[in-house]
Amino acid sequence: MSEILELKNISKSYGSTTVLENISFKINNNEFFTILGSSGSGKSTIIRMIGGFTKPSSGEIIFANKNINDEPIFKRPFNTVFQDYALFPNMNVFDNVGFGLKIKNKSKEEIKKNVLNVLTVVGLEHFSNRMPQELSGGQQQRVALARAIICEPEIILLDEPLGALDAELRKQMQLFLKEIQKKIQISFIFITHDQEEAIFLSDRIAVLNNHKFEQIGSPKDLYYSPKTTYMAKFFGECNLIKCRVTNYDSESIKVSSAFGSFNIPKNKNLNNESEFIYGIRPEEVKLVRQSEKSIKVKIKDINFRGSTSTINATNDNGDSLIKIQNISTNISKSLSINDSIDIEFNTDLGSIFIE
Amino acid sequence: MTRLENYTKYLLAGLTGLIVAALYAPIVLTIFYSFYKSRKGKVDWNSFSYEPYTKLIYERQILESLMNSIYVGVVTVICSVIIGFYFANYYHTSKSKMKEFLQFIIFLPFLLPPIITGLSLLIFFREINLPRSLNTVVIGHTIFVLAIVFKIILNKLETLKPSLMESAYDLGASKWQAFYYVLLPNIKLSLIIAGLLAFTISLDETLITLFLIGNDTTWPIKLWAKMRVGFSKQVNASVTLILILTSLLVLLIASIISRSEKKIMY
Amino acid sequence: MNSVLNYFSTSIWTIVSFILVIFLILIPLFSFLSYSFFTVDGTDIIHEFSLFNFKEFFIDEIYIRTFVRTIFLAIIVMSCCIMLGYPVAFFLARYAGRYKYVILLMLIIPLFMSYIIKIYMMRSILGYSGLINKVLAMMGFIEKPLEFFLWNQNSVIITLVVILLPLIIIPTFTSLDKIPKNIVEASFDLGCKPFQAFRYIIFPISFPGLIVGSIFVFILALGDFVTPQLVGGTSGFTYGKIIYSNFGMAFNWPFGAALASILLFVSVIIILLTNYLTNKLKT
Repeated sequence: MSEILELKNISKSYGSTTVLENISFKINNNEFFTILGSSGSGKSTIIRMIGGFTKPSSGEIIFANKNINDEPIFKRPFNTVFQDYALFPNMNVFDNVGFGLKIKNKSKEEIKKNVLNVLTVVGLEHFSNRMPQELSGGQQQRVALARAIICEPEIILLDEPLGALDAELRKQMQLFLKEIQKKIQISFIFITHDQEEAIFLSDRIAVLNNHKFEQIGSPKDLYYSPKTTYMAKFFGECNLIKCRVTNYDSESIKVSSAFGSFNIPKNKNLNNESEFIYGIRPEEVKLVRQSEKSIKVKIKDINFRGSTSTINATNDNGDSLIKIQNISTNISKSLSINDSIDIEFNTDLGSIFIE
Repeated sequence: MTRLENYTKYLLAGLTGLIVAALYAPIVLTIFYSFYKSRKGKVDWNSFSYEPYTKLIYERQILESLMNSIYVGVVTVICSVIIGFYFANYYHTSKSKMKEFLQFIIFLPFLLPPIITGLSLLIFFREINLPRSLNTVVIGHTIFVLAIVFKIILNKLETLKPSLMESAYDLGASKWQAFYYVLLPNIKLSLIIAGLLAFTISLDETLITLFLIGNDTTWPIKLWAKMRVGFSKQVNASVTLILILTSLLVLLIASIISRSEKKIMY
Repeated sequence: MNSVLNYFSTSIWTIVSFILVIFLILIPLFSFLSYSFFTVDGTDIIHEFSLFNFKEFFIDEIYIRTFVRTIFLAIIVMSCCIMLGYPVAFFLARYAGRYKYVILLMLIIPLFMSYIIKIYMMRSILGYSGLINKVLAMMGFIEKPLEFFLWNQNSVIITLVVILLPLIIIPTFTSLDKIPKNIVEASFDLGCKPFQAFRYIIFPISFPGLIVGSIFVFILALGDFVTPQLVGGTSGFTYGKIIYSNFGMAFNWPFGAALASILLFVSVIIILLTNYLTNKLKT
């Protein structure tokens, strides 16, 4: 895999309002890259800068080893699928898709051949004479994508393209996008605010928070090795426990917390007496028989979820809460509130956040 | 519906009917007198004739004034639509505070009494030694209709999504290609409506024209001059023809508007 | 996004059109205003600052009297237009159903039809042997023709109302037509009687439209100089007519400009005042 695009220390502000701060990332060939952030987090601004619709206040956009900050939109080998599709209402589907080629003065036969090809790829070969306003949302979406694909860009930029669709159609289009990206072998930079969508579609995800990237990585990386407590809570749930190292030796580290003390694997970022926050996913907390390593907690409530249950438990003082997930209902039905249980952490999958 | 409301409804319908009648009475009379003669206020019912219409081609003065009016109208349309488009585009895309000021100035000739616009231009032309002619009338008409043309085009521009032009550039279009293939086809109707309206207004403009006209005459000015001696049947005939033309223009504008509104707004 | 769209706004053509408008609207207005401080000597205009024209205006009471009379005339025309136009607009918006746009169009068309012709024909309708007198005589209401209708203030008012009425109906209709039916129904639901619904809901919402139309009518009636001249007889001596005659036979452009600048002053104040009032109503 080779890199094709790099953003280096990009910042953007309008007047005194900062939109993006020091954004850096690289895009690989044939990659489905997602920028995930809540609305207003500046995620659209990133692809608008790549597309050339707006300029970064500082930093560099590098494509094929060349700074393209000042390259005009129409010279950049990227195409955008807009959130509102932006199909030309005065042209039918065929002319919309063929527009990019017509502008490049391609011959009529070539345009026709290519357009029909691409329309077949997106499954709209029978719609070439329709006007955009006669199409459903999903179909308009496909036309917008076809219009971008036909220009054979190096990267396709998708600005929340599924935002306007209803849930059912959204699922279909996700599948469609994933398949088509594999088929045409073009890198996609995809913008969304929907976590499930990002996990389902992406090779890599960049999470945008507070004008900065929190973390970039594969969906699995982000889930199992969050770098910050924000990231730990961003995907799914995570118990965050304040801890202090009490015994540091070559094999393992003993820490104390509100729930008592337990051992974690060796970590070079920690030393004796250092304080940190320990993150553990609720499903990585196990019910065990009492042992040396186990921790005693008191059940606060039990939430029945079908074949499994979720338990919220507290420490002895009742001032700290821990969540335990994926308890087989067979076990949980024998438990009741205020029972004492013994738990253990799957410490191989715990995360350490030093503040 | 209560009984009271029913009465109100019929009362209002009657009033509306009366008002429509009052507005059309002068027009209907004109058409009537182009076919029938009247002597000392008595209508001669046997005098029906469409001769005035055929005789109209010998009325050089009337025809000439009509041609002048059409010339002024056409040039006014061209100037006002071009300038109006550029202003609308400027207003739509610019962030500068000057644009509000610009809009205010454009609206002045439309809001102020026509007599003010007329005499301002008259004085200005005298100061710069520009002799009065049909072209000075064109200038007067252009700035008078500019506000309407500007507003119509601006309204249309504001309905277009910014992503529309952006996607044209994104697909590789230069600014002229984006203008020609994307912007122009999408605002075409508003340009046509604005132009037709400008023409219709110019055709009948009298108050500003009176100040700016030179030795030529436009059609309303000709009528104004003829009025002192009373109208011949040929004048009535020419009026009837222009009335038909104007009504057709207004109907055309209305049908374009209603058709474009029926289209699903995309 | 602005970097894209700025393509057109920075074009040389915009600058050119900007210059055009300043030259064709602002500079003429200034030259007209400055003329009102000049004087005339025979056929020459003396380009020297003087308040002579304004002194003249205030000294010779005929000007002020004519001005006040013309304002009254415009107010009467405006009031007639409101009293006739509002009910019509109301009827169209509320009761005319699917015919409303057709009727509206019928009311708009006369607006674009020859101004001069309408005045001319109003003469033959209102005149001594005109249509109205004949109809009244035929029905036996009068024995000899009334002179009530022509060559006096009444005929000027009637003619201006006929010409300007559509201007008040259109904006009023537009604002009435925008009122959703369910708002009125909600007011009934809350216990409004029909008149109360009108007083508290419908009228306030339609008020800005009515105001816009009224201002148009008022300003056009105030500045008109052709209608009074052609149907008004001796009482056609309105303010607009005086201004116009200074540019014609009397040939005293500076004095005409001074009179017109007073008209301009009043018009601008009225426009600004209305603008202020409607903005205040909105908030």
